[in-house]
Amino acid sequence: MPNPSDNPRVLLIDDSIDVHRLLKVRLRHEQIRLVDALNARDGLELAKKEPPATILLDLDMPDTDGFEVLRALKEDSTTNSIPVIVLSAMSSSEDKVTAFDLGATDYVTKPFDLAELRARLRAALRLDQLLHLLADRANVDGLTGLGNRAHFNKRWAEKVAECRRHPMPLALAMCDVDHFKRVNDTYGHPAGDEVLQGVAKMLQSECREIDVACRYGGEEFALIMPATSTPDALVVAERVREALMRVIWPRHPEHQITMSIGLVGSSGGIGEATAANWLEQADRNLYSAKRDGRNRVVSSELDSSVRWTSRASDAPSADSQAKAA
Amino acid sequence: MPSQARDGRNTDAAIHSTFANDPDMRELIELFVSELPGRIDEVRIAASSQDAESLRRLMHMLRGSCGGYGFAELGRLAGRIEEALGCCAIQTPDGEGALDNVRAEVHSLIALCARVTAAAPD
Repeated sequence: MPNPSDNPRVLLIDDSIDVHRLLKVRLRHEQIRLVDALNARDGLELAKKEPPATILLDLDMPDTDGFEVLRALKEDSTTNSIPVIVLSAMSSSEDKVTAFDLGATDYVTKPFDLAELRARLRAALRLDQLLHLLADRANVDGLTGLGNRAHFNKRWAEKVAECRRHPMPLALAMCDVDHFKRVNDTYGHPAGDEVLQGVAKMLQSECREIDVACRYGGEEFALIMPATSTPDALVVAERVREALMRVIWPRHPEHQITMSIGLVGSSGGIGEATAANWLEQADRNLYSAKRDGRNRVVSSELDSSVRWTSRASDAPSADSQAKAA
Repeated sequence: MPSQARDGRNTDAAIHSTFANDPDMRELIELFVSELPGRIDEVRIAASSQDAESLRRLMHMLRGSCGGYGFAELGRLAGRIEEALGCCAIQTPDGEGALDNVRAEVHSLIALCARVTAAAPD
């Protein structure tokens, strides 16, 4: 049975208590949760705090001009994509044009025809759903279902910025499938795709809920580990590396797949480090892991030249496996 | 004996909501009608104290809500008063001239409100 608390939130910003009471009754059979604000200030605060799926906005309120509220909603990155239906007793073309130019999705004149308002609200909610779907698609890698590079860039920049504001541990692991080209050349591209999908699935099952796994590009994956010190991140990275070695691949069960990992973590203060140079340091460690024989984790503290290489002593190297194949 | 307007309408007849028979709306209409005398008092005060802006806001509220509660005629009249006050207030910042122009319509609105009932028509 659908849970009413999962219904999309619709925020009504209107100074008239009559309109609030009326819409609460008239929209109660819609699959929505109606949240209300009787003035612009409360409305803007609610919209920013928990962005609703659609906003019904009255244009003429005593404390402010509704156009100003619309402008504020459209200028704020947390609220600018929320569809806004303007409710107004003002029905001049000029007002409608201004509302649409400021980013309103729709304009309904008061007193409203309720069947029409319901239909327009449903259309706005569909638009909101499509916008979310589009935003999700733009951030998802089509082959693996993990976040794509754009998503990684955004999340990584956010995490580093958070870490700068409130010092806390943070680690980044760049993981690259060893000798991936050989998989494609030997078993064909479908087998290569299967490996990438398998690595993505393994990353999702081995990392923790707080971690963010993304496909950085090609056969390279990025793993952001928030609130995780370098030694703890190393444990996760090792677990990931070992888990991949255990995977039996349906198309080539005799061929083991391994990955090399470059890890850089910080236990708190990140100084002048930026998201970009943190990533460069992780790439350098990844390069070292490749150069030193692959199937290993090379880790270091941020801005430190001291590196550790970690690799299970009994782990057969990708090189030896490839040679055997 | 009920009074008759010049056009023959019964000016004492009760005004019912067009939604009076809608069970979803019954309670809301009762609440709306019970609060109407208070609002009309505010209209009287604004009119007698020459407070055009308060009067315009009160008309704006009535214009936006009356139709939704099934009293479209009241809403339309409030809308006409609001518009008249809005455009005249620009010419006379004190609003005095504006109030003179709408005084008759404000009286009609007060008279109409007195006839509003939450009861369903027989």
